[in-house]
Amino acid sequence: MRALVTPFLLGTAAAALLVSGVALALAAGAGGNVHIALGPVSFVIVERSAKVTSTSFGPGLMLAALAGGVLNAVAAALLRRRS
Amino acid sequence: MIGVRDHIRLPAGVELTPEGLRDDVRGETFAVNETARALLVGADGRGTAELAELLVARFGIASEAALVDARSFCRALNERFLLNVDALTATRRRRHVDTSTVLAALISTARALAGRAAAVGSLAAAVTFVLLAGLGAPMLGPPLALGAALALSLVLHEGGHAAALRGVPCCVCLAGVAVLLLHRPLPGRRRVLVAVSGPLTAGAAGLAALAVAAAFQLEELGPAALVLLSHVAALTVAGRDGRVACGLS
Repeated sequence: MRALVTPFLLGTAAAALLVSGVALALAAGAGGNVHIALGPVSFVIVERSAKVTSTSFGPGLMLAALAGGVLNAVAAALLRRRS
Repeated sequence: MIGVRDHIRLPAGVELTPEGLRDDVRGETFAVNETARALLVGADGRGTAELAELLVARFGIASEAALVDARSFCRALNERFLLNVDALTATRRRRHVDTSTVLAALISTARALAGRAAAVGSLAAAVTFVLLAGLGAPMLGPPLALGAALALSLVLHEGGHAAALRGVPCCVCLAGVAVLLLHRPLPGRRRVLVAVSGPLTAGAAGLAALAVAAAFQLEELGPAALVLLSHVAALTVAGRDGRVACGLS
């Protein structure tokens, strides 16, 4: 069980950090309010007012993270079987 | 290749004892014969030609044969990170890392990697500048930021590993373009912690920089911060750290 859980958790963390990072980089490059989404799935929303900047991460981030975790767990299982 | 004028010395953490060549990092002592002992006694910054002369004087062998023996012996130890060669062309070097505290580990790793980080950062900055100039947009800021981020990411990644190795003897090994930390085998959970701490340290710094870039609309900081953040990809089985954490290598 641990052989699958560890790569799943690591893949999830890596994907979550990478996707949120890319979303933040895009938000940093764009002026004003930003809403990054893939179809109906939202990744990040940046709203700027005169005094405050608020950043919200949408469900797309969680979906991408889960996909990363599943991919990493599958890859780890394949590598384990081959070795 | 070790030249006749290259100077050799035992790195910190490796010493010649009556029992043999002691490596504190590996926790092993390697048996040495009389010829090897004679060479290692002279491994205090002398050149390989001087070491060969020691063999000639001690064992009465031909000087050419002694030089070949001395150079091949030094190369074999250098390949195992048991001997450092003071030469610009040396591709394998070992540098001590103090893991007594987290701060000491970070500082000594930074010192050990300062030259490599500066070289990597400068090269990246120069290449980026040339590429931008070729595209008709010669700028100095973004290439410098990218080079600095690359250098910093290298230090933070290895520093993160070293910090997690607190109390465990370790050293930085430079092998060509590769950088690795050498230490004794660790039990399961500690091994995972050490493996993930490097990518997570660099990644956390990248995420923090990106948050600042997004909040203050610092567009130039974005790509540099992404360089730091990209280290988290090493958490997956595509990276060596990820494979170690998953028990795959």
